[in-house]
Amino acid sequence: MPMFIGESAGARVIQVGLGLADVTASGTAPVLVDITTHDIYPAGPGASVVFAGLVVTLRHTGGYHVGVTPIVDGVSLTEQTFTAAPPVAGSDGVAVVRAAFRQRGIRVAARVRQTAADADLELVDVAEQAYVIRQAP
Amino acid sequence: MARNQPGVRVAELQQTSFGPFSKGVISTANALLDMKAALKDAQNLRVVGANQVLLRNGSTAVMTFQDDQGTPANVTSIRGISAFKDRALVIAHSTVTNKVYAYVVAPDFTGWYAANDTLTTGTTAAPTVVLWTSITSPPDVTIAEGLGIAFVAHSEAANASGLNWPSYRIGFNIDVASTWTAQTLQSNLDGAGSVNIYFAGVISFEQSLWGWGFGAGNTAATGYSPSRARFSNPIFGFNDASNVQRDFFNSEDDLDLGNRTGSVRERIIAAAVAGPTLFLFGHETVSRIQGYGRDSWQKTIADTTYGIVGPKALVSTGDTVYYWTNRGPARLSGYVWYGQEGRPEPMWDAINAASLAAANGGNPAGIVAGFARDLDQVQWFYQSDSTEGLVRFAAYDIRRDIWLGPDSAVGVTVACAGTVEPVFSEASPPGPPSGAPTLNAASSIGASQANINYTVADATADTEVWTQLHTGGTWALLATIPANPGPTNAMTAVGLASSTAYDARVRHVKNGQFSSFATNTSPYFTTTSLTAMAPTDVAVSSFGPPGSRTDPTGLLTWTVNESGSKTEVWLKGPGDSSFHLLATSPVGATSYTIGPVSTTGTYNFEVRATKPGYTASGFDGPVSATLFTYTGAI
Repeated sequence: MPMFIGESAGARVIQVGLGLADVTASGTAPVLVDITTHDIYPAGPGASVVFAGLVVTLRHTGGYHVGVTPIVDGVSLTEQTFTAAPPVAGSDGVAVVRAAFRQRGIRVAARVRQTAADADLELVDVAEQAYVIRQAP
Repeated sequence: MARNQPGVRVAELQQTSFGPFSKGVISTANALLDMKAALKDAQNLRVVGANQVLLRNGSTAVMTFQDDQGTPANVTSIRGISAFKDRALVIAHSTVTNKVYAYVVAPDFTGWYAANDTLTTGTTAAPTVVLWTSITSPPDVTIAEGLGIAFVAHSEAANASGLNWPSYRIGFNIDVASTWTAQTLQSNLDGAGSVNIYFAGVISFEQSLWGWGFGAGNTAATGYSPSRARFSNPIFGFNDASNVQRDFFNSEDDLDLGNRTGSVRERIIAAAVAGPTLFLFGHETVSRIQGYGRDSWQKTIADTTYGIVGPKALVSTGDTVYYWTNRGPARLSGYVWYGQEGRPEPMWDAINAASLAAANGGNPAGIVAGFARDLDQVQWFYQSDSTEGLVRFAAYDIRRDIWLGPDSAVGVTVACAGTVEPVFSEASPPGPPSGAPTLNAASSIGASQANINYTVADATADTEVWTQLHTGGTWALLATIPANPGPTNAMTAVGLASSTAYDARVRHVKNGQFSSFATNTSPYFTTTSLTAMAPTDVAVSSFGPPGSRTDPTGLLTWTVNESGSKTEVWLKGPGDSSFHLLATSPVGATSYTIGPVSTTGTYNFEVRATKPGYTASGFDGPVSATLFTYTGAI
């Protein structure tokens, strides 16, 4: 059952849930995923570790443009971007990208966002990698 | 340093997953809470199947609405979208013409209906009818349906200062034949006669039309009743043959939202039906109405704290109504029965804090809620400050009980939402026969049968053939001739009475619908009479010269084949030029004794059967014998 919305400052009825872009007043704007995870404390809330990377697993149908930003102890590090062409014929489209970095800290979160619209995109999983120096007592 | 050297501990790379994100979005910074499988923030996600987290789809403009100027221009705001009959109803406002228009459109938004109900295919719609005129601000409206009529109310129809915008009813063929019309909703609320009424909202519940904040007459004192809802009789007030509504909101048929009769504080803002319950919402109060009819309505106050923010901030799906309180989103189940405890279930504890900005100066009264069944989502449109308009978007997945978003701003400001789905295609139900067959002259008319001939008008339709006795008969269906294999243009009626006049008529039937009859009652045909079956085995024997003047001279025999028939004996004697009737034997006789003859010679005989109502049979014979006359002394 489709849902429709009516423009407050316009003359159009708009169907929700179609296509890869939102209608705007004068055109369209791409719909882009942008997620931020909760923190993970690899060694507990009181022990520092050396973070080594973020691993993002995606499934796509037409290529992707994604940016991965590590957030260590609440501070965003440099975003790393990844792109890919559409999967080859017969592929299930699953892709794994790894944003490598080195940062000592206690907790880490990840921001993953599309930087451009390509095709449908599934966010399969996000994982962090760290060297645990010592566990919190 | 070798990692397996005794006494040396080497840090190994460990990996921990943040997902899978089956809990949707839960906003908190508390590290002691188990946020495994939850996202802290997420824009533009949807969940399908077994918690597959996908990019949400976008949106597409499906239809543009125009005003009624000579050269039509686009309206300036869409104010209501609702399923209506097997179609959709859209309400829009123009600040150019200062009018509010109603559009009856195809349910898939591929065409619109003019006032004469003709469908024009296209994505630019003209108004079907005009509602309010001289209205400079776009209204918030509610739409209800009953008995094929749409009822439309303006949320500011009445206030303490007076009466502003009467409610309307929109229907086809209700006031003007074969025309969509919009008439002000009238009733006799105060016993002084039928007048325009001013509901602030309308909704259909248990075969009754409910309106609230109603007014009537010309004064605010008699007209404004902000906390009260009034219900119609169970047939939406259609109480005379012409479908004109009269007096269907009786003065005693009403309920208050809360306990303060006539209170502006308990003004009814919105209503929704979920399961067996009608929910009435005020600024601080929510009441649950259950029952079936005037003597059974029961009210239970479910909430006197959080209320609702605005007339469009709610949507019901299944047995639950989702709405935005003055604190944040909440929901109520309709399956809580009268007398049971059924408090609102807060949903704001998990939603991202950014969404709560909707209640902080961001036009909370304008919040719009809708339900997208194909996404399992209740969707909310709100604004986070006083200037951006209703562009923010958040969704709640009711199947998985998780929040998604809040999302980035959608591309347009939103005024209303509605779900519409075609209940059947425009081509359904299948059509009737394309025309009526014609009845041609009968043929091969016999004593007991005749061919009824017709010409089909629709080769895909079956054809019914009816007959009746021309005198004193009643029509009876003789046969239904299928279209396949076919078409056939004739059927033979058998078992008819002889020498009897019959009428006939034919019509097509297709998809359970009929053409008109083609009828002939002149009569259509008259059967012929029957022919008796002829005797057989006729034979004649001579007795030789008779011994006396009175002795018989011969015997004629035959076999009777027609039950109940008599047998005529025909004779051609010496000197006769032709046969003549000699005698008629009684019923059942199989012989005839030939009396004295006057001349010795060759006599020829033939026989035939006769029977009342039948044509005489053909002759059997002739047979002949030499018969002798008496030659002795006298």
